[in-house]
Amino acid sequence: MRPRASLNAEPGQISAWLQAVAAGDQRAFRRLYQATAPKLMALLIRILGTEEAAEDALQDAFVKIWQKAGSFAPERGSGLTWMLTVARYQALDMMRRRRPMGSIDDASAETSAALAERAALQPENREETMQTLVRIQDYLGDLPRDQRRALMLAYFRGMPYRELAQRLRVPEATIKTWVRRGLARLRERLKERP
Amino acid sequence: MSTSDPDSEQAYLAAEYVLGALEPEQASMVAERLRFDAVLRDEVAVWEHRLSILARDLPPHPPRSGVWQTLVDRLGFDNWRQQLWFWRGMTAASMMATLVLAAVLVFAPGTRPGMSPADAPLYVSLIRDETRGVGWLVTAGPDKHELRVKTLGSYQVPGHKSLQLWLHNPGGELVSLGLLPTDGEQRFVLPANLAEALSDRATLAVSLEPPGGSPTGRPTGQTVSIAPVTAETS
Repeated sequence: MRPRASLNAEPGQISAWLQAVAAGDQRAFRRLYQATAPKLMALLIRILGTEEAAEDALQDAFVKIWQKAGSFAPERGSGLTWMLTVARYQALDMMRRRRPMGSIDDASAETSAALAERAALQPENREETMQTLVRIQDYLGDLPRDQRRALMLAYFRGMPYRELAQRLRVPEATIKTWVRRGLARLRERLKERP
Repeated sequence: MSTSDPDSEQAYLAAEYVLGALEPEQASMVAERLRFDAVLRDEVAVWEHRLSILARDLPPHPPRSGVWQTLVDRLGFDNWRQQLWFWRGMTAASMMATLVLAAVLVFAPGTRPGMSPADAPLYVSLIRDETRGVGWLVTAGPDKHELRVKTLGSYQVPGHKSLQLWLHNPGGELVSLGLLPTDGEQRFVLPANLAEALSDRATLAVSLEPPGGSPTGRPTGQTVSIAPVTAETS
């Protein structure tokens, strides 16, 4: 059974490690990897669908983190956000290169059912996965299903408006309105959080 | 950070850029604007944080252990480690030869007029490029105020490149000490933080870099040689 792991570092610690990595500190890089790889891997699996592809993307992401750590600016955001952003762009680039648009069932990838399925495959994660579903529901919960779906497809599949419109069979202007409502909803919900 | 009205077109543009909803040509235009538009950069940073909440809450999934090994192989970390072990594993005889050579060069009468025993170098390192038969003798006094580098021979640097000297301290940090001379002698003033890092557990390394040195602050080119620092405790 795969050991459970969570982010075992304070946000400030991650920033400090990133700054040490920028100076070429290999030990800090190792600690950074140990602390954050499981979080990045979770995102990459969500985007790419398979463990093998996610591990390839994880390596590429950490190579970029090693090379680009000097561009991380702590005053502009947390270290984990920066790393997740690097990993996500890496995975989206990889996905676009590997498949023609729409060649897999993207629509199903963003559904709660897909997460629940993963939870079933990994019983040790079931409780956490369900909590995740609850939290995403909390951020976007009162949006109509299609609006939530448009937002999730854009984030986890990098689908631009035109492709979203084709996928969801609505005019592009409608998709844009949905996505913006979803963004505004997320912004307001995060503002309410302590 | 400064951001615009949260419902402004610019704020949504930043959000859509981060989200990935823009068409490629539009995303390229935003990327270009980010180079000079500080407010838009701040908007993007804010939205990267907001949207990352969707990723942060996913249950962690540890990668397989082989991923780390492949990663360090790609980054060349193992090469460093292997070379370190090689140098740490040098036979006593070759280590003695290094120290004798250092002693001969540093203490020989006439090499440093006016040098007294109190000036005796405490830290010595001999960096050698075996393929070219050239090396550098690096010494520092007890105060570690400066490094003296003496080229042993004349080094022909390929392709108008530069040779850069690095200090690899026990904490794992790799810090540039400056560009090495290709012949003759040169002195490097050591800042306090580097002086502290210079010890008998430190290692010096030389890499081949673009003219003027590494543009990234880390070695980018071929490692020419690596050598341990020895502390003379007379």
